[in-house]
Amino acid sequence: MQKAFGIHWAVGVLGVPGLVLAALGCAVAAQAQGRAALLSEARSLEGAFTDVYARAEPAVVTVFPETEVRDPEARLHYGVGRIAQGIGSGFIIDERGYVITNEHVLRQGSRYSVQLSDGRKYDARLVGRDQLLDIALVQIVVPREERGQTFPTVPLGDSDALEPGMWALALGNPVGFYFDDAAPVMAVGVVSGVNRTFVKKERGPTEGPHVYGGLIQTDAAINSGNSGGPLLNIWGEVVGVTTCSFTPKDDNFRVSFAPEEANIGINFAVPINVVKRKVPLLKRGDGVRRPMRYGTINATIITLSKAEAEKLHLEGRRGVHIKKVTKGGAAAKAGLQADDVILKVNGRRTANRRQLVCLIAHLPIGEAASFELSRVVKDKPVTMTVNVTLGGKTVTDVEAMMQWLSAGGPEER
Amino acid sequence: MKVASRRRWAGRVLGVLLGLLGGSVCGWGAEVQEGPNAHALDLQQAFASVFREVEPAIVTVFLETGELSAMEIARYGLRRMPLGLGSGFIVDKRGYIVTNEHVVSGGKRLSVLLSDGTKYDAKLIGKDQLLDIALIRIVLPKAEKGRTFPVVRLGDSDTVRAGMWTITVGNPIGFQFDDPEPVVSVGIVSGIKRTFVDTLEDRREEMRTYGGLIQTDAVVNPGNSGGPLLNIQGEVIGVNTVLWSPTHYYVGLGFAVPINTIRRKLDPMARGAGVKEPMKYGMIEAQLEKLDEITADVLFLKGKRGVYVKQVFEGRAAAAAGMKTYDVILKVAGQRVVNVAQLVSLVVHLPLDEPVPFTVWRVIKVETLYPVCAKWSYPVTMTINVKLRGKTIKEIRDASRRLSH
Repeated sequence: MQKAFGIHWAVGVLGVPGLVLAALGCAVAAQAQGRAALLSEARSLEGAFTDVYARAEPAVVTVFPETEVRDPEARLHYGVGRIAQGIGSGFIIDERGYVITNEHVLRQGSRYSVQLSDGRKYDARLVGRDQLLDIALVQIVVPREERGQTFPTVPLGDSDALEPGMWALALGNPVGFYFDDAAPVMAVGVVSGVNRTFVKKERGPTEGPHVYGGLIQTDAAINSGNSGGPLLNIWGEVVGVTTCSFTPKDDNFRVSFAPEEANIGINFAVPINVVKRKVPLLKRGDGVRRPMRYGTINATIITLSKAEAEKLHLEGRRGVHIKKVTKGGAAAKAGLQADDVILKVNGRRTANRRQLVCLIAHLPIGEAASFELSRVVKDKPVTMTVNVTLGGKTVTDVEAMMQWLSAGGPEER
Repeated sequence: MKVASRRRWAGRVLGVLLGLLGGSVCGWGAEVQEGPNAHALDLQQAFASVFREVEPAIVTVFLETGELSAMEIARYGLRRMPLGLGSGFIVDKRGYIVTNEHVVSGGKRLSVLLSDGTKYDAKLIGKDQLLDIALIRIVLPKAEKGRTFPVVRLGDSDTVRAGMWTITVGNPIGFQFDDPEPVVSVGIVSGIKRTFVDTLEDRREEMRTYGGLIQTDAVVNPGNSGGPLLNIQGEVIGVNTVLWSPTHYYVGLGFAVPINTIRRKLDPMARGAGVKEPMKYGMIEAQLEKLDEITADVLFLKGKRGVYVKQVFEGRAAAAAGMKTYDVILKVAGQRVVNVAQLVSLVVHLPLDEPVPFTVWRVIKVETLYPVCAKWSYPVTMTINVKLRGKTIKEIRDASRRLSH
């Protein structure tokens, strides 16, 4: 009996605190497991970002527009034949060394160099360029000893599938002159908006305004030097070409003490679907060997003014008013008339002249685009959809066109 | 011997098989890592769906001059000149919109642009200058009478913690873009209960104290004012109001008024408070001062921060509730207060109908027969419920001017 009592006593004395300790241990373990689960989630998100960087980085390059140093003394002095006048980024889309970058990056020089992320530097030749879209194609010139060399590429995605809120990752070489490293750097943010149209006031010291249409907007940090680099989705596919930022300089209501070129979280990229369509044209030399041709409907257009909107029974609506249709042109052939108001093209709203021109210019020439328009029939507005086969035209004076497009702003409501 | 070696052999084979199985499982697991993990995809789905849900209820608010003359209309193509813009969000399907008071003050007329491109006139219904919040309402033309609008969901800003995701939706730099659609940016809550005095002269003639704000690093620029700050569940937890910056643009320091403070004011504003009749603010009607070192020491609060009562006034709210001179206010409605600006910016927005609990530290002097014991005193902590007096801004200003003499 003593023994039995002893056992019970032992169980009681050791068992209860033992149970308590065990429970505590479980609680601590559970908490540790909870935190471990949280950390593992955070880390695996990080893993998605590091994965995109690792896979895209070999294909992201730095592009240097250069000028040739002709004076032999200067060549001796500098030790090189060419001096970089600027810096931009780019990405390789074809293993034969075709690189996409911004056209405005290349303006600053007449010769070009491309540096890969592992430091190798090559000459590059200009293959094609599109001044309106601000996209250019260069090709790495492989020296004889490396004939047959292929280059890593990055896959291209679908920019039409982008929605605000999706991850946006920008790779490039911002402020690249300050760093000795050739590898690109990455910034993460979200897609803030799609189909954004705006006027970049002064693109350079000698340039006037440039009108950009249909851009992807993101809060991923883009700075000077990123131009031409890729904007990727979380799957590591390129969905845009990072091109410019909205800076205080562009703000008409700017307070005077703001620094001109600061990054304020409003950044833009040209959607890759538009670039994809242009690559075959760029590869065959459009913009370099012969002028680039742009889509047109051969009509005189103006942003719909409030007075005209009322006359055409379109109060509160925005669109593009056709003033005159050129005889025998694309619009005429499709049956468009004067006083038709274009509301949408291919399902995308065209609220003013800028949006319409920027959209049509980059659609394939000779192919049909669907135009939704409003026509006054028997004093009532009728909405109809018409397919227009786009004509083509060259633009001889891009600056003049930009001036024309940048006038008449969104306040024409 | 045979049996033993067979067992050993079986053991080795089993071991190898297990090793292979384990290795293949690990290898298989590693292969499944292809593509972005579920969390990255889930998160971007969350961001995108919050934006999709909220976007139709986000508006751009335009502050405009009065009607232009016929000649000016012909010249500019506009009925009224825009003076400024901000963002706003629809809280009631009849078209009531919350925005910042500084977005709607200073002009004659208001109009709002919906995300689908339609534009309406709007009327100012109520406003709270100290909180910097205003309530406006869409004025429907007769032809559209009865039209209802999509609304946002309001969340609970008391549950917000530093590190949580935040999503801002608005129309920054809205004049420069041809598109009426709002845009989105994502960041985190950098901090909560932030209080500071806004000294930008161009905002108002006098300084405005902002109290208890939520701080975020999501991109907020001029034009985002009045827009919503949302949590990852798509509920509004604040109104983007202030941006601290040496450049007047985004540098990573944005501030939002928490929605819980605003919620209390929606009904008074809808009834016309701030427009038809002055808005009332809670005051305890006592002269307050920040604890300095000497006073803190005497009150057994050496090294601590707080607010003490310098003077109470007979018959006024603080005295009526039982507060005395040299009471130290530690908390108001459960919230710690360390200086006067913080206390005032908290108290002015508290409800006026029910008493508010103040956690007070009072040093009690022991009165005894013997003179030596009269020096003894000890501190007690007590709760004093104060029924706040409602005062208009003019009355507050007059009172503070009187006190500062």
